[in-house]
Parts: sequence; structure tokens; C-alpha cells
Amino acid sequence: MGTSGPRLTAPYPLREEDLRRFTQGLMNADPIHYDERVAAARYGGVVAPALYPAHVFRRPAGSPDPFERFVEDPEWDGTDLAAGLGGLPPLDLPFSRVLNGGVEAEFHQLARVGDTISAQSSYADIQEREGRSGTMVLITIETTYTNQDAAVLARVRSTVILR
Amino acid sequence: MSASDEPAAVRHFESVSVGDELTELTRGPMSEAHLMRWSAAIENWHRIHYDEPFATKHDGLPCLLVNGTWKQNFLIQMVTGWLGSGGWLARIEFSFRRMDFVGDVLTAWGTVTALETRDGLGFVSCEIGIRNPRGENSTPGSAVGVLPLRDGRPVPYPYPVPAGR
Repeated sequence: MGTSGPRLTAPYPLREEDLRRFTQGLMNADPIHYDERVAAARYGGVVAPALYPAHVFRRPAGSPDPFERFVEDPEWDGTDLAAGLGGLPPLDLPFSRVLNGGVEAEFHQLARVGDTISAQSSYADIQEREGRSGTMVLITIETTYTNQDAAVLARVRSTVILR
Repeated sequence: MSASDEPAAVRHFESVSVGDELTELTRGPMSEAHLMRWSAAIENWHRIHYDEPFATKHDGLPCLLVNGTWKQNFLIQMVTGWLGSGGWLARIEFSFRRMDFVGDVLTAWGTVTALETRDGLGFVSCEIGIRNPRGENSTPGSAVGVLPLRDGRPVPYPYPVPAGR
């Protein structure tokens, strides 16, 4: 508890193209996410939505294909719990389902196109609870996202529910 | 997208009252295509968002589910849009309490619950959530936004990290 994992850095700087796909998927047409003229005055350039840093850890080119797993495990649900732990040591717990419980975030700065974002996580809380469908474990991970100048963009506490 | 989705011009703290409703954002019906586009954009491959036989037969769900990652960004978009170009979303929290299904029309909403001025800035606390067609609040939470006072200083950007952190 409280132990920090490694500082992980996104494989790519924030690219306009990724931001376009993200905001179009979100159906967010705010011009600060694509129009330099609108975004420059306050933000110095085109910026991403506040929680975008949580989505920058893409699979780098040349890395192994996670879908290879379907060969051995056709029932795989497509999730990667280890990747969601932000480099923290995995917990050896006998649960089969992982649910997204909730998020608590404070925001300081929006990531700008060209920024290289890093994240450092720690286990903030681990609790056992009796739910309607048996025992579950709630794990809260706190992650601090920074840019290449070590300025804090956001602090995010996310809770995953194992059951 | 309608003009009312555009972020407001500068909203001043004095124009806000407890009980005010934040401008709602409505999206959907959230089709399979919407879910697929989002999953691909963020490269998240959880099959319950695009593989219906897997979602229903393997996971026992009634149908495909709207991504929690989409809902969290949707809530943030609603609050930041309402705060306008001079405001700042300082804090938000919410939990995923109910499932939202493929085909749902979803509305992000908020209500002002408390107002406070401090250090020449206005702080607006809100209750927020996402309403689905079953009348549920699938994603209840709260947020704190910062607005400029009418004759006050701009909300600082970057918004400072509290001392001692």
C-alpha cells in the first residue's frame, strides 16, 4: 500500500490524429480540441479533454500482438488487467471478473498536442466487501499524470472491483 | 451536433444559483457503430462492447454495454461545456452503478448544490449523473468547477496543484 510503481511514459507524443479520433468517438466538437486559433489564447495550442492522459498508453509498433492470445484462449474477454495496473505488482487474487467501479480526479492542465505524457501509479486502498453476489475486493489505484516538463496534468483515483 | 452543445462564452460566478441545472448533453441512440468507434479510438478490446455473442452467451449480459470510459469522458464534457471557456473543472468523481445498453439514448446532467467564493474565485459544487431510458442514474457523482467573479481575476491556468502535494 502506498508503494509507487514505475514512472511509465507513453510510447508516442500526443498526436492530433489520435485526438481527432478520440473526440469524434466521444462526439465532442469543442474547437479547443482541433482549432489552434481558439485554443491558443488560454492553452497555447490544441489540447485534449481533461481525462485524455488516461488513454495514451497505446500498444507501440513492433510489440507483440495481444490478440495472439485468442489462439490458446478463444474465450479471452479482451481485457488486460496487468496493463490497467500501471506497472504496479499484480495482486494474486482468485477473482474472475473485473469491473470498473468509479473515478475520482483533479485536473490541473490539459495535455497539448506534442506533449509526452507519463504516469506513476500507487495502490491507494484495498478493501474486501460482501456484496449480493459474494465477496468482492475493491482496489483503488492513484495515478499522477505529468507532461515532459514534469508539470502535473491530473491526479486520478480509479477503483476496480474484483469478484 | 446542435449549437447548444457549444461551450458557453465566459460564465461568471454571479450568474449561478444553487439549484440551477447545468446544460444537459444528450447522445444516442448509442448504436453498435458508436461503441465500435469508441473502442477502436482508445484501443480497448473488451469484447462486451462489440461482440454480442460473447457479451450475452459468455458473460450473461442482456446485450452490448456502453463503455465506462466513454461515459466518464461524456460527463466531463458536459461539465466543462457548461463552465465555459473561462472556467475550470477542478475536481470530479462518479461511480459506475448501472449498465447502459446498446440502443440507449444517454443524457449527462448536473445540478448546482453549493456556491462559495475563495481567493477571488467562485467555486461551484454540482451533483452530476447520466440518465438512461430506464430512468436510472447510471453514473452518479459530483464535481467542483471554478468560475471567475464578474470583476475578478481570471481562473489561473494551469490550475495550481494544492500546496504540500
